[in-house]
Amino acid sequence: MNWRKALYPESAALLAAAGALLGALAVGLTVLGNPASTGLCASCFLVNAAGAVGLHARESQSYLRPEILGIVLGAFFAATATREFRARGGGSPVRHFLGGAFILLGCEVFIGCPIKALLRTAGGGAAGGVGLAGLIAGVLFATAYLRDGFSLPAPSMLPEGAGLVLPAAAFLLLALASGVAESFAASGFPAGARHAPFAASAAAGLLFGAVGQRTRFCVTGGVRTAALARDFREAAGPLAFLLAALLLNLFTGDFTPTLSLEPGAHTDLPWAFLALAMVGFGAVLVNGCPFRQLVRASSGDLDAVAAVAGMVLAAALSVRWGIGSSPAGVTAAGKIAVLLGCVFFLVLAAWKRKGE
Amino acid sequence: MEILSGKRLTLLAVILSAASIAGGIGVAATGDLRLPAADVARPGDAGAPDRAGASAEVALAKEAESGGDVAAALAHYRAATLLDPRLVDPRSPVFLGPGFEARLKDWIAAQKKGVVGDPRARSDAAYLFRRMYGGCG
Repeated sequence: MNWRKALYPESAALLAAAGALLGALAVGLTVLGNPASTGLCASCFLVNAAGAVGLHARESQSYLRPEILGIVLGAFFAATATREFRARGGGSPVRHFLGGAFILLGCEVFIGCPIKALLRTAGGGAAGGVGLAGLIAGVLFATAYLRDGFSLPAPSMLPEGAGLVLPAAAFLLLALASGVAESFAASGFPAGARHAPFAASAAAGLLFGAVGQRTRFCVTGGVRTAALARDFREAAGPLAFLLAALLLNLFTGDFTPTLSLEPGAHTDLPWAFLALAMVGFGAVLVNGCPFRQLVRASSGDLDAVAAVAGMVLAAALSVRWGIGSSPAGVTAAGKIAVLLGCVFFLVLAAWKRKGE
Repeated sequence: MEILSGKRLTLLAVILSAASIAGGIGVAATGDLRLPAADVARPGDAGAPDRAGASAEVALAKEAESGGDVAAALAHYRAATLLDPRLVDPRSPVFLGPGFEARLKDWIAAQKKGVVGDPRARSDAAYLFRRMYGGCG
């Protein structure tokens, strides 16, 4: 075993193996108690965490997910161990904050982040597949603006302590949650949101974060790089994730091709497509989907911390203002949020090009 | 030279932005912006789950069910769940119970075989199933 290759994975085979590991872990967490197709969903977990700290009051979506804290700490440890932790920021924090917020709202209208779109597709959900198609369409559209010179201002290097805020907060919350996890859940339900055992979720979260940091796992990033540079190595991770989840679902009997009976989903296909198209388009412009923003933020990127802050705020608003969808369908507020997100990212893309 | 580049790409962004704004205004004018959903509010807040209304719908559903009218029962169960979504959450103290869960699965199985063919009933049963088994929490 060549440890250097494993720590600095570049080949498609290693990136695919890492993606398959993440996919298997995500299905495993569902088997252990997480909601259907929600073994790994950065947006759902952020909504749950926002509820756990009192930013919204929906009991069934309140739980301080150890996975999300584990992702932050796992990515931080991996970045530190490989000397990739560098505090940097100030490039475009406001755009990241607003972009993160709209990306989260798009995810909530679809009901899941791009990784959950993979899991929903692997479970046989037609709406999940339609959302995934929308995501890819959005990413491909964004690459036209990248080719035409779109870029955000480069961040500046900062004192290292500045990058420690998010990992330190995650560490404190995880330490608190390990003792009193149930106290973070609302009281009306036995334990807030459905969840796998604490230790399994925390351990999986650490692995998600560490592997995600080393492999730069990102669904939108993989499609972007494949489209721009004809380099398919980054896409090997998400593709292997999808295949591993699909095979495990087939093995456990959890694969059911369906439109109307997909657990937790709605059947509004045009809005599923448009919501994730907006997410894919925006994620390319602000350098990452919700999971990738968490990993970047944990590696010292303060612009990504701004995106995470925007996502947490949007997670609370999505519940409080009825923006998030439910199995009953997409709400009017959700549709408006998606359309406003489209406007925000289109203006950003058109404005920030060299020569325009 | 790329077809989508330069001023064309700017124009496309302007057109799509204008369409999005028009769409948003259209949704705001015609859509129901009174949500959030019933289970968001804290007990006692305006918009909290309507337990009395939900109980009335459940009573009507049971009456229809005992009379053999599955389609009407499903419609009332759906109406009840929209008033109080916790009715179909197995972890909730007001859950309709494992008996209801088993009957719902039987109805869906019957619908797949074409025994219960009403499209409205199919939609109601599917909604209750999706609500019971998934979501972000």
